[in-house]
Amino acid sequence: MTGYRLDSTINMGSLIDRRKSLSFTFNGTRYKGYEGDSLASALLAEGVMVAGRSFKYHRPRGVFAADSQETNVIVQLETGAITEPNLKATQIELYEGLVARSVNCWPSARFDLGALIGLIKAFMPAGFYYKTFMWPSWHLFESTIRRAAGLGLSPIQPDPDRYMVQHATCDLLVVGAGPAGLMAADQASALGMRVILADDKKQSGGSLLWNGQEVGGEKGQVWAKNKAQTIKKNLLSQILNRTTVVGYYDHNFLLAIEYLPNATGHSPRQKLWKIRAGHVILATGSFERPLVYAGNDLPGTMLNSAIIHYVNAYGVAPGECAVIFTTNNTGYETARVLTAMGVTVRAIIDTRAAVTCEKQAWANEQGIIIYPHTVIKTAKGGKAVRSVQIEQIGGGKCLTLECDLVGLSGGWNPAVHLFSQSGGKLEFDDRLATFIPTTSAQDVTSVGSAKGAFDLGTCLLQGRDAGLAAAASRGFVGESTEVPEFEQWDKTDQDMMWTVPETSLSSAFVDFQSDVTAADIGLAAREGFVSVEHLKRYTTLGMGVDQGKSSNINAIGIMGDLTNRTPEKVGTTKFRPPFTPVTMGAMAASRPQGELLRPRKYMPGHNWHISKGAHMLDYGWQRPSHYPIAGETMQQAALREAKNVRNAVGVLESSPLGKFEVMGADAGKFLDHIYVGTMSNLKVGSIRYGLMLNEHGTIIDDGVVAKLSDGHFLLNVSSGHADRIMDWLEEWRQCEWPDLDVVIQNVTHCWGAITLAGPNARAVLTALGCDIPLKNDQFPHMRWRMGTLSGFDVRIFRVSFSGEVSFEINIPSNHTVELLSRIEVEGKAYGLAPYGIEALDMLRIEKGYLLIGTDTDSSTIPQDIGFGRAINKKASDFIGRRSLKRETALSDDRYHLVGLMSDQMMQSGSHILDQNKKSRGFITSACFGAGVLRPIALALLRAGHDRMGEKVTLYTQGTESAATVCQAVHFDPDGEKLND
Amino acid sequence: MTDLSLRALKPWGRVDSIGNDPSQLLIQMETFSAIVRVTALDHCLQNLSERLTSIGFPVPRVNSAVGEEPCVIWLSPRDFLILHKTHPAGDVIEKLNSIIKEDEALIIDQTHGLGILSYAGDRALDLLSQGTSLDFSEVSFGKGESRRTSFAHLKVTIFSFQATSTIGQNMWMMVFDAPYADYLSQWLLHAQKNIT
Amino acid sequence: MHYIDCPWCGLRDESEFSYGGPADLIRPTLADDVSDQEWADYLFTRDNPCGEHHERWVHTFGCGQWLRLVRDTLSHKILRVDVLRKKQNIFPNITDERGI
Repeated sequence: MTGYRLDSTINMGSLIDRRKSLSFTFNGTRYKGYEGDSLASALLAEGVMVAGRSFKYHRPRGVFAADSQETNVIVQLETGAITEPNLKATQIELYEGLVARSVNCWPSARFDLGALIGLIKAFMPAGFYYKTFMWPSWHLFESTIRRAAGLGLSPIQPDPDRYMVQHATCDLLVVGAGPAGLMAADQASALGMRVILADDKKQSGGSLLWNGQEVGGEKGQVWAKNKAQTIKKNLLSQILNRTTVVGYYDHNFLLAIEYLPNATGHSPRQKLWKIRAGHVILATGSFERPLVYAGNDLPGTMLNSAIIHYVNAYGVAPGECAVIFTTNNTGYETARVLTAMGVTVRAIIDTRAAVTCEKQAWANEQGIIIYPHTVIKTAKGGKAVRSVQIEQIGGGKCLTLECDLVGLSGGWNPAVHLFSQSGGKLEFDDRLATFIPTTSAQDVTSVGSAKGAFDLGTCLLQGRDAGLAAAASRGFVGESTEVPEFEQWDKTDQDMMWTVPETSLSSAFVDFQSDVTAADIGLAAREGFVSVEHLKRYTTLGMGVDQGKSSNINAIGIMGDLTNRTPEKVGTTKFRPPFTPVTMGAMAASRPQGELLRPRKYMPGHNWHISKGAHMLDYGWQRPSHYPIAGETMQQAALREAKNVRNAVGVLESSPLGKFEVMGADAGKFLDHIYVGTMSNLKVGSIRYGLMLNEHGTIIDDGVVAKLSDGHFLLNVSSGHADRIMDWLEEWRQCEWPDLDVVIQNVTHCWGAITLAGPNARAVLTALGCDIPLKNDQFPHMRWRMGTLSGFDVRIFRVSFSGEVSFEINIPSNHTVELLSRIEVEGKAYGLAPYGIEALDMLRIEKGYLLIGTDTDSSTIPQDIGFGRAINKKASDFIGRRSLKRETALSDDRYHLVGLMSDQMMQSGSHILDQNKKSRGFITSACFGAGVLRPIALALLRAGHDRMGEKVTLYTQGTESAATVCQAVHFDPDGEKLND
Repeated sequence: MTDLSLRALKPWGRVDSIGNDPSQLLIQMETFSAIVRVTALDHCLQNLSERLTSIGFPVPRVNSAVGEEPCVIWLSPRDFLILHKTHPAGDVIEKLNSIIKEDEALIIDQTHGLGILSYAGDRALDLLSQGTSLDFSEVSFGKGESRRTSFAHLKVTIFSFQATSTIGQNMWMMVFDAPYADYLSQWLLHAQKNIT
Repeated sequence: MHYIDCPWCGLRDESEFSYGGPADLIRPTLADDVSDQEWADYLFTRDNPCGEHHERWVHTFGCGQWLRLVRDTLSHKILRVDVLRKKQNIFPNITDERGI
């Protein structure tokens, strides 16, 4: 006895199109369904009862619900790169050729070897793993357990799908296009608000799509469709279908995921909506909860509302002979619907004592027996429910009823997830036996069954009124829309029953997916885990992909009963986004993989470097690492380029260097506060090296300052973080010294910078035609000049990072490529060749020129790199000065920057050991010196300044080698070449 | 890797249109002969408005792009950009130097350091709203207004141009840092494919 | 994601701003000659109130100006936004003209 598709004459199925047949494969078997089916409805129609296996005990499971609260039928969709694990079959729209497998079973759901675990179920209650698998070592058991644990498989190939982001600002966001939501959106949009109405289903209507109710004299589904059309007529409004609002954040910021059908490789599959709403109306509906008794998880056991849903929406009868178990009127409606479809309803098991005459009369007519004040104590069956054992409450008559379908109605839980995420408070309503929203923390209103209004009339009214109120609060006034007539269907008048009395708790399931039973909750209480947050984590209740939608409230009730607390006192666990699982690709949509992951900067001379065969790398900007010739490795190219700089002349683009113009009567004073050295006495035309510290005394930048004119300076800061230093300068200027007469402008991108370095640099400039006197006595090191070069207006700075005579030419950036080309032509005669960052690194290392962040770390202060003397002479305060007088700053045992010599090539990261093999420092930069022609390094070594000449042992990932401590400047320590 | 034609001083041309229909989406590189940034000290700001008027320049207004030739765009309480389509930066700077002394403000030619794109078409907002959360509705961002914000993770200034575009629709312009030209064009090509 | 009403630029996403710590730190100057402990307090010791917190933010992706916010650390409500230092409104605001 199984589920089957109803004949179209009996029930068409409001959501399916019987003209379009689809085929799909589930667990290797081919089946058929219709367009509009969900995977779950199609499986039910095809009589598949066992469609999954539970997480821990591998119990056979069948379809339980009809939407996001499904706990049992969890599948792996498709294979390969597009496979998606742990989707609920109830939320997958059927398409032609769909392939899905149940997770957590092998070889199939019907015959699962994992079910053998059921034999030792008694030894595996909640939290058993905290007490087992510990001796002799957890690691012995780990790999086996890892293989057995988990649900579904992660894809192991990159996601080929596209995802996109859409930002939206609106006056009103309505979540849920059921009766209440449609009324709210209609009212608000009629008054001119910008409205977004979001609903997770393919079409608007909410529960009207399946509960068969009439509104305004027409079928609920038709009324909803027309209402949606009316709303869409307003140009300022939009309806997003297949869109789940997954998170509610600060200040009415919400995230939603829109599932786009028919995505090809080129069109996006999902859209991440980032919505900022003036007001939010939550019309999110409610979830039915099951009843807790032994065997309540057997396939064929479903929520009553789900049964109605499958019958009306998909034309599927989930079984042939049903028993309905209920605490409220939903069970009766289910019985009515099933009977109308020709399905036998054996009995209605009602926990309530009183049955109205109306109900009794109707039941008699249909041949249904009502058992008031009765419960199902146990359900029996192997791979499907076969019979239920019912008993009157308080003992007494016990009866066995055969059936293949059990419908459960334990009550209704308003979907308060988003409301709670927004900071709203909940209270437990005894009459409704559930948690309902009370105080809002943001601009949000709950309406309809999400607020605990379970009758259609109230839903419609609340929706309309909320729309009206939202509009009024934002200044949109006008007429209110009419509330249509409706058909009453009352879900109130209900019992509160958390567990069926006298049932066997160890097989009375509360959380079906995580296999948490009522007995487990009892165990948690006995072990002291009575806080609701502890209960969740100790039992794993609510931690499956249904996120507790079918289990949390029952669990709270059970824990309350066990510890003599009301559900309100037990409380709810913290609601966190997302409301339903979201795929990683959608969350990362604003940073597409590959080249668009983060912004990239290209230098103005980029195309020239490419034409020279440069190998580009990301150094914060795209820059040439080296220019390989004829199969050279990077090391070979870099060494050749560096040697050429030492012996002839090299050209390198230094455009990324940060350039800031600082101007004002107090510019010098300001810079004296920023730098360790004194800049206010800099002469026009001169350049000075400077260190910038943060308040901890740590060096954050080293660069140069050039004096352009009176009260006018140009700062050059490290390429890697120019933007951050600009922010830093503005912070101090605006916040600490706002009264200083000084302004700053970032001109980094205005100027291209080309460095000519080497003994022949001057000659090349001359060959290009330069009106600036270039001889050393006319243009010494650390000066700048303005003039023309090859017809271009330029600023030339004589600074050096290579240790050779070096001219940094600043030219308006659009002319960079042209100038580079001309340099190449004129430089040929002088042996000019381009050099890249790797070569530059080699050159600067042997000169002891440090790189902040490489040769320094977050504790390095000026004294550590030999710049202590300058500080004592300086009068004014500067950032970080006080930190330099701290005890640790004055210690002798600090890390000092030193050089190292060795016969062997050294590696950065190697440790420098003392006699006890303890690390006393580490190498920060290492290379083969292009000038000294031997291996050299820079290192941070404790008390290094006092250890010159000392022989030390290096430790590099297991191997030891020898080195000698020396000065950081290896090449041309007197700077003869520099000042040539 | 695309050819960075921006840097070769060639006009960038259209990034792309949706199905070659410019009325849907038209993105163009805008060439301005002058983009000058002024950062003024306090004592200069006091009567700057009068001085600018005296040379026929529009006065900056907060969050606005005022005028056409030149167009003055507010950046901060003491910064503004001056755009000119035909006059070279040197001329603009000379005019400014006639009313502002060297020690009163930084007046710097930023023409080489910035790029400007224009966006027009029925689907322009569908594209722009992928890169920024800025509210582009008429009531929030009207004609002649400017906004500094983030777009595709870059710092940009977006302004709604007074005139309408060549295809007779609303047009937005975006000022960005020139080194990001290639990244931005890749981003736009990618985002444009998302519009269906 | 907070929605911050920048006095210059209007309501913007939090992601356009950078947080700058408490608003009213007083920086000891050289002349104050503070002890190591007092200096460490300035660097590290912070109040962590549950409730109103005065903090500074900078509108990094907007006007670049430093702002002072009064924000409730529990509810995340932003109670007030001002410029951090004196406000010069030399240039008229477009909204003044539009009468908004």
